[in-house]
Order: sequence, then C-alpha cells, then structure tokens
Amino acid sequence: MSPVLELDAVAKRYAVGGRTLTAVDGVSLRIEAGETYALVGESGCGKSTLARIAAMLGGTDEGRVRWSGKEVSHLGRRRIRAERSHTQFVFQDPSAALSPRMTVGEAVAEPFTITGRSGDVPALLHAVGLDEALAARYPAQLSGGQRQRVVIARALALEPRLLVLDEPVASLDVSVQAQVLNLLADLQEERAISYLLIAHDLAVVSSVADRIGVMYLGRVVEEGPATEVVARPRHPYTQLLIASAPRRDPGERVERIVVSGDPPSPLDLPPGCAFASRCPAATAVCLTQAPPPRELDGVTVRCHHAA
Amino acid sequence: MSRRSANLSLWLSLGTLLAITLACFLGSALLPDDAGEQALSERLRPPFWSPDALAGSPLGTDAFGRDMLARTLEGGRVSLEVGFGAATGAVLIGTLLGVVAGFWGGWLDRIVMALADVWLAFPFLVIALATVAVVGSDLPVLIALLTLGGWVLPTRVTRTIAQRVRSEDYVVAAAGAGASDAYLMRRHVLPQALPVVLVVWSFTVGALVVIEGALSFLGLGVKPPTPSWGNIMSDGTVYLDTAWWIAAWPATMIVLTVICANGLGNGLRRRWATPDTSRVGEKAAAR
Amino acid sequence: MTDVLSIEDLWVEAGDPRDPVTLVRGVSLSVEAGSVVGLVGESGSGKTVTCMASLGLAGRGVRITRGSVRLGGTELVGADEPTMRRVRGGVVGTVFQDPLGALNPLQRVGDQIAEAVQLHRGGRRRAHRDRVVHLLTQVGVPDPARRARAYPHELSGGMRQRVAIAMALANDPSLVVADEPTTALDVTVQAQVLDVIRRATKDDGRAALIITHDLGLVAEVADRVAVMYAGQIVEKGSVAEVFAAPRHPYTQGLLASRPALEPGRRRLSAMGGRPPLPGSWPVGCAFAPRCPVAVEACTTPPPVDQSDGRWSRCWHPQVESMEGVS
Repeated sequence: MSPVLELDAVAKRYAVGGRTLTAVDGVSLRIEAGETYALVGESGCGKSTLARIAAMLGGTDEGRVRWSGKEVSHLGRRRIRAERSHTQFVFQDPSAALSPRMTVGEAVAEPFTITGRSGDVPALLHAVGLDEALAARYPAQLSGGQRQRVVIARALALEPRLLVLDEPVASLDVSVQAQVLNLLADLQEERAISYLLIAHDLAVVSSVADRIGVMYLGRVVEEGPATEVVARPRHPYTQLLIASAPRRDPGERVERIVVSGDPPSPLDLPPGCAFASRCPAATAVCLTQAPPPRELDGVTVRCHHAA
Repeated sequence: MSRRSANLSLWLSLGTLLAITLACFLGSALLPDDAGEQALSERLRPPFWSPDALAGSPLGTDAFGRDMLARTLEGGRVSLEVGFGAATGAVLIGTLLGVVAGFWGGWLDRIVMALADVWLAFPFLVIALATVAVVGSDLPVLIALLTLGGWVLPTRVTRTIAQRVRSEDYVVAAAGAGASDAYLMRRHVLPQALPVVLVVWSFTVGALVVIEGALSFLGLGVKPPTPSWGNIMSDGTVYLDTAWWIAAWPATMIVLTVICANGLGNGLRRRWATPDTSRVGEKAAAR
Repeated sequence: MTDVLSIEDLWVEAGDPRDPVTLVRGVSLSVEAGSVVGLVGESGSGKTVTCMASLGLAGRGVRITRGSVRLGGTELVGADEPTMRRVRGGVVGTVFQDPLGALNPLQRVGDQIAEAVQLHRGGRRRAHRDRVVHLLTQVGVPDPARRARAYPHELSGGMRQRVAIAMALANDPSLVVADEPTTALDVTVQAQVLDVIRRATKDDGRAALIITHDLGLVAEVADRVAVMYAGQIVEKGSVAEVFAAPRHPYTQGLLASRPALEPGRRRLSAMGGRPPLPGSWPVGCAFAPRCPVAVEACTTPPPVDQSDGRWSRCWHPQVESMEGVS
C-alpha cells in the first residue's frame, strides 16, 4: 500500500527584498498508515511551512506531494478541493482556529456544509470527549482545551487519513496537554489515522511519535524511528536539542552542550553544513561541503561525522 | 462617553432619522392634496408663531405661496431618496469590490486600489458638474453620480477586513476542508464585514445628503419644480432678509439628518467595537 | 537569612467594586536574599496577578483588598507613587515573557539600558556607557560595545531577552522578578538564558521570584517553589522536597502529567478536568472536582498541613489521621 503522505524533495522559497529565503530545502519524507511522524525543530526551521505544504495549504516551489499515492502538488485549485478530505489540519491556537461567529455545532458541521456530505456532529463531539450540549455554545465560552477538542472534531469530520497537527498542545495549560495528547493517541487507535505532528517539545514528541524528523534551517538533518533518535541522537544538533531540554527533577544531572555562535541567516545559507557555525564537532569539511544523507542503523543523518 | 449615554445617542439618532424618513415619505401623502400648490395671494407668509401666519401652513409659505411644510417634506423625500439610494449603491459596490480585491489580492487588488486613489485625486464636484452638464440631472443620474462619489470608503474598509479574515486560521481550515472562494467570502468574510458596512453606510448617508444639498444648491442637482432640500435652500437665499424661513427649514433638516446619520454610525461603531469599526471612524472623521 | 520580599495574606480582586471577582485569596510568600523562588500555576491561577499587584503594576481595576507586601523593609500596599517608582527598576528589576514588547523598537538597546540607569541615578546618559557595557557582559552578550548600538530587531530572541535582563539589573536590584522569562524562546536558547538568570541572581546574592507554568524551569533554577491553584497557594517548600515527594494532589498531578524525554510511545498520566477561572472557583477545596482522592471533607475549605516541616493546603493527612483515631 502506498504511504499516506509522501513528500518528495519539496522546497519552498520566498523572495525577501530581492534575496531568496529558503524556508524548506528539498525535504523528503513518508508517513505510513496509523503512524505518527513528528517534526521537531526551533522557530524558523521551516517545520510549519512544511506542515502547510503537507496539507496543501501552501504551495511548493519544487518537489511533489502525494496523498495515499495520488500526486496532489500539481493539481489546480478546483481539482484539489475534491481531494481535501484526505488530509486535515489542526492549528496551534484553537481560539484563532474557530470563527467567533459560529457555534461549536456549526463549526464541527462546517466541513459537511462545504462538501455536501452528511455527518453526525454529536458523535464527533463524543469522540473528542465533549458533551453534545456544548454544540450550542460559542468558542469564547469554552476553555482552551475544549476549543482544541472542537478543532480536532472538525478536522475528523471528513474522516481524513492524515491529520497535520501544528503544535497542538503548545498553547494549552500543562494539566490539559496530557489529556489532549492521550485523546490523539486514542483517536489514532480507533481510526487508524496517521499524524504529522509539528512540535518543539522533545519530551512531548518522544512520548507520542513513531518516527522523528529533526529540522534545522529548512532541512531534515536526522530522521528515524523515535526510540532510536531519542536514545542515540547522532546529529550534533539533535544532541544539542536533547541536552537543552529542561530537566525533570532538580537533582537530575544533565550534560549541557555549550554552543556558541548564531545560526546563519536563512537568506544567506553557507555552502557547507548549516549547523557548522554552532557545531562543537565541526571540521574543515563541514564548512565547504554540504553533508549528504547517510543511513546508520535505520536512521538517516546529514552529518559528515555521525557514526 | 459612558456606555449608557452612547446607547442613548445611538437610539436617539436612529429614532430621529426614522422619524424624518417616515415624515418625508408618508407625510406628503397625509397632507391635503393641494398643500404644495401655488397660491400667489399667500406669498411669503411667516411660520405659526407670527401673527401673520397662515392657518394650515405652520412653517409659512414660499415666494409662490406654497406651503413650506409640504415643500420641506416633499424635498426631503427627494433628498433622502438620493442620499439613501446612493449610500446603499456605494456600499454595495464598495463591499463587492473590497471583499473580492482583498480576498484575491494580486492584479485585481492593485487595479481596484489604483482606481480608488485616482478617484480620490479628482475633485468630485468638478466631475459631477461635467456629468450633469452632459447628461442632465434626472434623479437616477444623480443617484448614480453620488454612488460613484461614495464607493471608495466602503471598498477600502471591506478590503482590509477581507485581507485579514482570509488569513485567519478558521478560514484556512474551511479552505482545507474544500471550501470554494465564493463560500469563504459569503460565509466568513461578509458576516465580519457587515457591521462595519452598516457603520460606513450611516456615515455615507450623512455625507451624501450634504453633497446632494450642495449640488442642488448650485443648480446642478434636482431641478425645480421638483423640490429638494438643496434647491429649496437655493430659492430661499433670495429672500433671506424678508423670508428667512424658506432657507432655514431645509437647512435645519440637512443638519439634523447629518447629525443623526453620524450619531447612528458612531453609535453602531461603539456597539460593535472592533478594531475594524474603530478604524472606520478614523477614516470617516479624516474625510 | 533575611527576606527581601515578604507577601503576607494578600487578597486581590478586580472588576466592579459592587460585584468584584476575587483573583488572589490569602497568598503568603517570602523570598530570601540569594534564593530563587518559583511561583507555579496554570492560567487563571493568580500567579501573575499576585506578583503584578504586589509591585503595583496590575493595572486599573485590580485592587489589593487585604494583606501586606514588604520589600526590603518598605511596605508597598498603600505606598504612594513616588515610593513605588523608586522601588520599581530600583529595588526590583522585572523581566517579562516577550522581550520584544519590553524594548522600544526605535531606540538602540544600549541607550535603553542607559536610560534605566539614568532614571534612578541621574546624570547624563553617556556617562553610563561603561555601566551598560558591564551589564551586557554580565548577561553574556558577546561583543557588548557593538551590540549596545544595535536596535532590538537586529538581535535574536535570546539576545533580546539578555538585554531585557541587563535592563532589569541596571540599578543593582535586590530582587529580580521574572514572568515566564523563557517561554517565548527556543529550547536551545532557554537553557542559556536560564543560566544567565541563575548567575545574575543566586550567584550574585540577589533574590529572584520567577513566575512560570513550566515545572522544568523551576527544577532548573529555583531553590523553593510555591504552587498556586484558583488564587491560593496549595503547596510550597524546597524544590528538592516538593519534586521528590509532592504532598498536594494537584502538585502530584502536575508533576506526573509532564511527559518525560525518553524513548518509546506511552500513555501519559493525565489529570482530569481543567483549571477553573476566577469567578467560578468551586467552594471548599477548589481542586476537589478534579482530585482523584477527594473525600466529603473537601467540600469545606482545607486547612494548611504543616507536618514534617512541609506546607500544603489539603484535607488529606488530617482526614486519614482522624479516621485512624475513630
């Protein structure tokens, strides 16, 4: 069976004052049915741009996007509309993702209104753990966690094969984050749905992801099974990310990696490895040659020195 | 202004505007048939408080002995037809252009905005004068002309709203569920624009009633014998020192209408206080 | 050790005085010199209001109705505006979540720091140039003389937050108050900025109060922690003790619901419900509706349990001991 999502060397560039900003630079990835693929990285690494490309909410300049084997990146605006139910998007800020003028019921029913399909709004609300009595409320009357559940219910309405989740718990209270993550896991089990999860919090990612891709300045620098990437990070940037995560307990000893230097400007990427300017292990070759992807125990790493 | 007094001024404005409108449109029908007829024997009779007042003409009569109450109401009907009609036309055209230009952007947006800039650069009264000179000044022509005089503000305002709403996450979500642009504009952009459009409409009514008055006053608007507030005022200027009331009644009505239209606009703006509506207030004030 | 900041039984309300909404109810908290206290809570818990109201920064409509806030011997509740101004930026330095919002976009960062110095020490701005460079060096800004001439937008998020910290330190305050100082920053930068905060406070003998929702940050830099829920402190104590053996079920739930960074998909331990908003706090123990061990007693306000030198606001140890007696 073809993968639910396949990105083939997609790239997205923006013109900024006569120069080119490369937001996403030749990223390829595939997500199988029922799998959670997490993209991690810091702000500006291109993960949100990539998320929008995967959901075909923003176009690509190069490369192909396939949904369950069907290429959608070349489709026109009209023809893509018929395919949209395949992939739905869940936004970071649930209060912005709901129209203040629509009740919860109207918001969840909107995909049906748009597509002319019929659907069961109370059942969707139940599926995300909300009481159907909330259908008559407006988003302003709900808590952040409830709003995110409404957004998830709406995204599930068209029975998509893939949900793209852009930092789905980052704006929620700590005690509510775990609820929503567990809900997502339950829904995945019930519906065999796939997730592309965009996140910056490696602890969150490590607990929900099957595969992890680490992005740095528009490229995936390390990708592999989540357990491998978390247990044995091979790229110095992944190592830095893991070492920077706040400790869980005050007594815990953490090996901090000290980096100096700023990341290069995405307007002016260096010819070699983009991380070289901050990398403690960088050598001459890193400054001149872009590291090709290398396969190590099922993990793909773009680093000259990874072993 | 406190919330309560803001509400009071909103309802007062709305009530007065409704009363003026009803009086003008129904009032002329309620008055005796011959109310507006000429009666040269009763020329220039003063209003009711003067001992010389004519029974049945509480607001006095004009130079042809016509009842000023009937004239003012009849003239108001014409002035308001032009004001409401043109404001509605301007807001409809402006909203359509603004929403589409703001939502789609690109070349269409650039053309519409360039048109708006060019339009504002021309002195409107000069254009109006030229048009009236060429095609005359029938009521439909006047309404069309003033519609063109008022389209820029609603266009700009709704364009800004469309641009903002288009990039809201919930609109992206609807697009991601397969919604067409027409659906997004109708279901998401228009409802957001509607309150603002109503505010703009109120301000535009006020502005256009004044412009109609000015045009008619200059003899470029509604032509006698059809009365309008502007041309009655124009007639009255000749008799300002002997029969000041002829010009005073329509002038009072214009001022009252404008105050109420602006009061309504301001009241609605406060009631639906959003960044969009407050910006309208600034723009309308800047005009 | 002396307390630099001492908040006693602070009550704060907002809104219409005839129908006020209580935001903070009876918070007592002290910060010793040279120690870092983390004030933890979720949205609506009152952690930020407690702190802002104490410094007179809570804005219009927010009133302290009871209690006392003493800062280095000065009572701040009811203090006049000149006193508050002397305190703010002088005795207390503040750091906020969004460094971009705290800095003037049209002014060079060095000038802004110099202005903060000038406000309290007078003199000409240029005379404070050395102090500016010294402060920037202290917060780990490389090439400080050059960076001082930069505008905020020319700096990265981490550098901007360092500048904001330098401004907070401008007048050598005895207390630094930081509200979510690393929330807006990237993970790799968070660790560095926390390091700067730790060096600028604890290591220099200053007291610090850090307001955050992030328990990891508390584990990272704080000595003591106070956990707020529905306008009250529900547990406080040393970070080591509270993290190792939390007493209050809410603290237990919060600590347990944090995902660990370790390999393998797993189900998270989730607390039910959601934090209540001001104005709709449950009677009795506000946490009872979400509490896995709630009993009947929890519908009445819980007492403070101070056994074994710990501090928590929960019926539980008492309930059990009473049952043991009967």
